[in-house]
Amino acid sequence: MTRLVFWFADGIRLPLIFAAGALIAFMLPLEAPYAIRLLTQVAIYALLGIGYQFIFGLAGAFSLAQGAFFGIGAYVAALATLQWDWTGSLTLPAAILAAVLFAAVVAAPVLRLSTHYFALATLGIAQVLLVLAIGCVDLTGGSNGLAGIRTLMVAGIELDGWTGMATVWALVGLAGLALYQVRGSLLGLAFDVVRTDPYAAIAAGIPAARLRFWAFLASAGLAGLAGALQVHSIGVVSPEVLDFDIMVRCLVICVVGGIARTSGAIAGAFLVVLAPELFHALEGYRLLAFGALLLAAILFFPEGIIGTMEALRARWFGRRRFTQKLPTLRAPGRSLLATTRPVLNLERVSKNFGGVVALENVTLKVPRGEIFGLIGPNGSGKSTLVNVVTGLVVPDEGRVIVSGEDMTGRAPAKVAARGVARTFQTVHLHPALSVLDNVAVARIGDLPGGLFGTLLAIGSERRLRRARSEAVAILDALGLGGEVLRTAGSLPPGAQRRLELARALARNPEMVLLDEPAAGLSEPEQTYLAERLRVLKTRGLAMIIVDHNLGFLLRLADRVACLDQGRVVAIGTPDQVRRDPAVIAAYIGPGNPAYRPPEGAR
Amino acid sequence: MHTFLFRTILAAMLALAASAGGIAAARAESAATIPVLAPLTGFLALEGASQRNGALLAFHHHPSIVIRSETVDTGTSPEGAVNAFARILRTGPPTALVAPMLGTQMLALLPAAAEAGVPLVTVSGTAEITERGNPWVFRFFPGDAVVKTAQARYTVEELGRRRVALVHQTTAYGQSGRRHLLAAFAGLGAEVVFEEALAPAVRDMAPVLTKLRAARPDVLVLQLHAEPTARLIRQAAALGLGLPIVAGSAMHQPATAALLEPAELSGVCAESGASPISGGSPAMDRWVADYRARFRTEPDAFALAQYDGVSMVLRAVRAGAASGAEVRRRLASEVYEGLAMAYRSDGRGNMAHDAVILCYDGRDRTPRVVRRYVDVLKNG
Repeated sequence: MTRLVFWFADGIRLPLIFAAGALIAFMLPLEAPYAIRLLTQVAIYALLGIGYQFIFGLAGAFSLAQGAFFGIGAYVAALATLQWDWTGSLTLPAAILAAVLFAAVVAAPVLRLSTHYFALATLGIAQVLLVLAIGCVDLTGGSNGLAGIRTLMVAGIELDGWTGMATVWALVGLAGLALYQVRGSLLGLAFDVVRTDPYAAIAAGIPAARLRFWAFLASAGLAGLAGALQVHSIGVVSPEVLDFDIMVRCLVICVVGGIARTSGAIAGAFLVVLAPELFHALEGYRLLAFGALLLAAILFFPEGIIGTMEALRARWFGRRRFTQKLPTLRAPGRSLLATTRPVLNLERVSKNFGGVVALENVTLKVPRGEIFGLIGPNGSGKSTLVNVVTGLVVPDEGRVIVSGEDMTGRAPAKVAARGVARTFQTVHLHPALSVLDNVAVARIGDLPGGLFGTLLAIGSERRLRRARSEAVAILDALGLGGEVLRTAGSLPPGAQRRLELARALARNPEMVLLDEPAAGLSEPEQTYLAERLRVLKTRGLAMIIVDHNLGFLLRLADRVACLDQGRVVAIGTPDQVRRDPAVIAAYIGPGNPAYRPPEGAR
Repeated sequence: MHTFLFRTILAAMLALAASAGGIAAARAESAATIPVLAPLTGFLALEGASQRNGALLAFHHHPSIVIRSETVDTGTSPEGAVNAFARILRTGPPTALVAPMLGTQMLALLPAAAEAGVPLVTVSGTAEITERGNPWVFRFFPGDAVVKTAQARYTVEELGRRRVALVHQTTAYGQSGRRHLLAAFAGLGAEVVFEEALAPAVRDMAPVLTKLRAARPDVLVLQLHAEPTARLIRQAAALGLGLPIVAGSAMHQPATAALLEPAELSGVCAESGASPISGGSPAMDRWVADYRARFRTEPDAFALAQYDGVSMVLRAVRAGAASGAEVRRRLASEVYEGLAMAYRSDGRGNMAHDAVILCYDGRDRTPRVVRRYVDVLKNG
């Protein structure tokens, strides 16, 4: 019995039960046509909300263009019906296509922006469309809009009343399932990381720009579909569909219902559509009551209605368990064969920030299986060099060649795909995700299957299972095998450093750039880390390690380069560099404990 | 004994019930269901409240009819109106419906009303609602074809102005008015030397006033909602524009005038279907007094037009029309002498054909009717 209760309270079953219960509870006291009308409206807004969950909930991008895509769908469906006598069989796909195409066109400039710039740019799109809808009177009917759009008809069957409502809810079901599927997949993990920490996403090799693009298109497509259904439902379209009011409703649906959740969108849509109707008896105070209800919902359910329900479920039934059997070990893909070709070849790389020289004519090669140390005083250009190699900074001059391919100026995701991984000076992990998933997510670039594979997986995704299996193997090799189910944020600092390394290795790279890997580690932890890195070196992995801990680095590295004011002042074995007068002058100095005077100087 | 007593009491109760029913039947000659759908929130709340008040006052003035009514706020979105209509239909099709004055909402309601067989009685000015061949719509406020013609004729024929600056709203109200004004001015041989569309949210009117002054017009014609009308007139007075202003019907509303000082209203005229607060007859004065006492606010032409429209429906009900179809037939074929004017359908549901021009003299906020245009479209 307890198992049965758990089964019902778990996963997607909860929102489904919630939706069905709300439907029945609402339908019972009402006469059919009115209830059908409202439930159809709820479904349309749920569809709009589910779409918005992709870009706002999953990708974490505060788009204010969702109302605009809704309006595009509405106008396209209306025009197609009135001008060419198209039925729903064509108007719905046309509305989706138009919204997606428009989103694809505006995505290029808009998705480069982030935070409030992105919000303002998307708001601008909506405003332009609103002005066009009002101004292009001959096409859009101006402020009066277009009227006389017939009800939904698909394959010669008129979908009105019950059938229309059922159709819209079926579409909600499909869209909701898609969102649920993505959220529970490797892609969902990737979205989670992109939303939480962009640097962690870069480190994990997640193609954040591509994910945001997909999410933007998905949200636009579903908004377009919702707009078309709205037009077929009420028979008119006017500039109100492009008004900011629609966008506000959309935000309310997702925030009050629950962000990134199918059930959140459905619950939010119920609230937005039904609450004002239920408050009719309050007449003039209706909107006041609705506003008070929303305020209360936001104050008392900061995680949204569904988020609160999930918290209660966790309190009553315990936290949701990791139901998957702990994945079996599976070593990730390719082996690194010995080769004489350098993995990294920097040719006369220079970079200036304003008048400050960060790198000047830096030339160096790192072959496979070498640990290459990079030292230099603060501001000498070490981090800039790492950023240039990983694509975060574009050099002004010179070439960055990775495994024979010129990667100069390529995006971080492209460089990462070429086999370059990195860690950051400050730990960038997803603290709420498990240790296992922090590493598993980094397998996204190597495992086959993309968005469509995820959608078609229906249920537990094989790709995620495989990623987790391989993550277990990597974590085990770095001594984190016993911590896989802990959250990353709960690990001690030394373990977090190793976890970052594990995530970098999960990308199956040819080269890893480690920025201050020993920072904050105890002596035994440093020794343990050094041992692990030597093991990786024997497997053919090239490593560039930046560290101020010279004792750690000079013991570990095969070769070392010293940077000073952006220039390579010395390069060679640790001993050679240690003795180099230029290095001594620029960086180490006789007072440093790591300093061993050259033989002749004794 | 007990049985006898029981039967006696039962008989007495039945007799009492029957006589009570008879009394009720005698008091209420007839019954009707007339819900009121109006935009009570949003940018048309003021006008929507007038519409509702006019309808409620008509109910109050017809105590002999048992009226079942419910007032539903439609907001300003088409879906709000469609939802409200579906809500109304829960208890079956009403005898008639006081339908929202917002054009886009009316356009959304037309097919549903036709399907349910419900006459829509409205004061919406949007021309298109009576141009779609829907026999169930009846407009009791003169449409733009009427009032805009009157506005243009007054500007050209009475004021003698021929260089027109036209400022209109970007909404349906503004666009519909613009279309008719341009046609009317063209027909009268006047030139529109400046034209600009303003969003309702525009606060600062100084830029548009500066631009229009540069076009050297000799009259300013407005087609703006209430608040923008007041804003523009105030700034025009402050900048010393010095042009006569002939505004749209929003200016006739007492609530609009209340936003301005009497001096700022000097030289301002407006078109309307009527101006109840300007008086004109003892019946009108009584109606205005009753309206003020009941709603503690000033009545406008929308309230009066809706009052007249509902009164015509109730006259039909009293005459025996019990269903929507019967009410529709009477509205479509009969003439009704209302307080504002005589109403009769032109075959498309346009019931009001007269317009008035009101002007403020700068001493108070009560306009005077300076010109009445009777049956504008017929008389040219």
